Amino acid sequence: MSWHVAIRMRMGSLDLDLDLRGDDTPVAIIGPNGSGKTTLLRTIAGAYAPDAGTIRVKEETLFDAEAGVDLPPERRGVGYVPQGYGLFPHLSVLDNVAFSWVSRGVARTERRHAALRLMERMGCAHLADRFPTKLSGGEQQRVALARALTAEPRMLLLDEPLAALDAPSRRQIRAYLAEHLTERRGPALVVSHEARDVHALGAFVYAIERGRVVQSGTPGALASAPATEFVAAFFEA
Amino acid sequence: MRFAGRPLLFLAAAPVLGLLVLPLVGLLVASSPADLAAGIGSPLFAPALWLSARTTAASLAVVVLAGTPLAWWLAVGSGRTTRVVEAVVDLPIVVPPAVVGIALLETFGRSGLLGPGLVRFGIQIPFTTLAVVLAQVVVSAPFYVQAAAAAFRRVDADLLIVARTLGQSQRGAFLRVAVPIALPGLIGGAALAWARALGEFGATLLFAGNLPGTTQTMPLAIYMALESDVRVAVALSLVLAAVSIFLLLALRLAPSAVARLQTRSARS
Repeated sequence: MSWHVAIRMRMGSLDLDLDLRGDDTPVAIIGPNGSGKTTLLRTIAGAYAPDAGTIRVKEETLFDAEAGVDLPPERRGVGYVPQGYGLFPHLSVLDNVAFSWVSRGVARTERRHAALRLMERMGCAHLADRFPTKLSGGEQQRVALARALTAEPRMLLLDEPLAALDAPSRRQIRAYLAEHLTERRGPALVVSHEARDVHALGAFVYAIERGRVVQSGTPGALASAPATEFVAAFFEA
Repeated sequence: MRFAGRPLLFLAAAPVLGLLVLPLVGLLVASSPADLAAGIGSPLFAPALWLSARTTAASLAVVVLAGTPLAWWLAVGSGRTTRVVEAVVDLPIVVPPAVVGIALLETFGRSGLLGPGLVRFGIQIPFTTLAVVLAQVVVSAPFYVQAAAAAFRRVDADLLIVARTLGQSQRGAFLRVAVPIALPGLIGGAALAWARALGEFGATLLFAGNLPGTTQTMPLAIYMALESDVRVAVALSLVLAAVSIFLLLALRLAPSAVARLQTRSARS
């Protein structure tokens, strides 16, 4: 078990009570809109504090309500790629990717070289001088993933990484994610809304509805014996 | 889109449009270059211009330094307190400047709310240059805070979470992500606030008086000049109008210029 999240919290009308755990392979989160998927990712990233519970990743306690542990986001070692990719519009692609090295005080030339090297490996070095608003969705997703990896996160959080893409780039990025997430061999939580994406990632699945886990298991297990209408519909298509 | 009633629309709009433009034309026509030179040469002109420049620079600095954190707080907050503070910030926009002047007197004046305390420390605020700055801060702050809060509200919250996960502290995320993204809005708000401070008349007259060199800013000098020499009043007005029009142009062009500058500095 490389990570374990057990939290209880209220966010507006949403009442969250979740217990999820996983190893070093990607885990997919599925669920209808408003079920708490994005809130879960942001909470792990440290944007919200749960009322109770613990968040542990790789032996490190990021949050523990009883022990009074609540690491700030910058010390949690999680990479977060929000829906819409979250690229900084005022920075070039290169500066976006080099951003975490700014935080760590790496010299300008050095961090730019490091960013370029990483982007070459991630197949997006040719975008270095462009600005995020001038990129296609697939290009933005590659850059956002590369940027998240620069912080060498213990855990990756991806919110609907394939949602806004057209069919061809969706196929491309799906394969790209599968390749890089398995190559990385670290825990990753991927919010997804399509069965094909879940299958491609080979991910263990948690289905969440109204703030609760309604079912978990392999995609095959969920597809053959869906516990709710949503899970059934999800794997039907 | 085609509008059948376009000429009619224009006719309906003409009175207001005319009232907006005609006075400026009148001002331009009223003065010959010789008049303008005489006005600029008047003993009222230079001290008032210098005082206006100094006081508005000071009040703008106060408004931006204190107003930026306030605007951020208003933008990220959502509770009832936030909404109450938001309404309080808007007050000076709806309260007449003369009322602001009296209110300031009743606060900082000798017999005002803080008066006895200030007197004990030998501090006198009314009818000093400090009073001019205070009046300008009160009347101009809402324009900046409103614009800045609106600009901050448009910054996607996810960008700040991402900045944090990439190693920035709360302050770092604010300075490196929120401020640069909101910058065009901040500059626009600052220009509006400066314009409002530059034109401030009523509150200044009541709270700071009309003392040449100490509290007599450009608008007050215009008021005084009108009683002795209309040419000086017109010359002062022309300069103020020119500055204002320049500000308006800068306001219109600032957002795209800032974006271009940011693009260029990122490239270099």
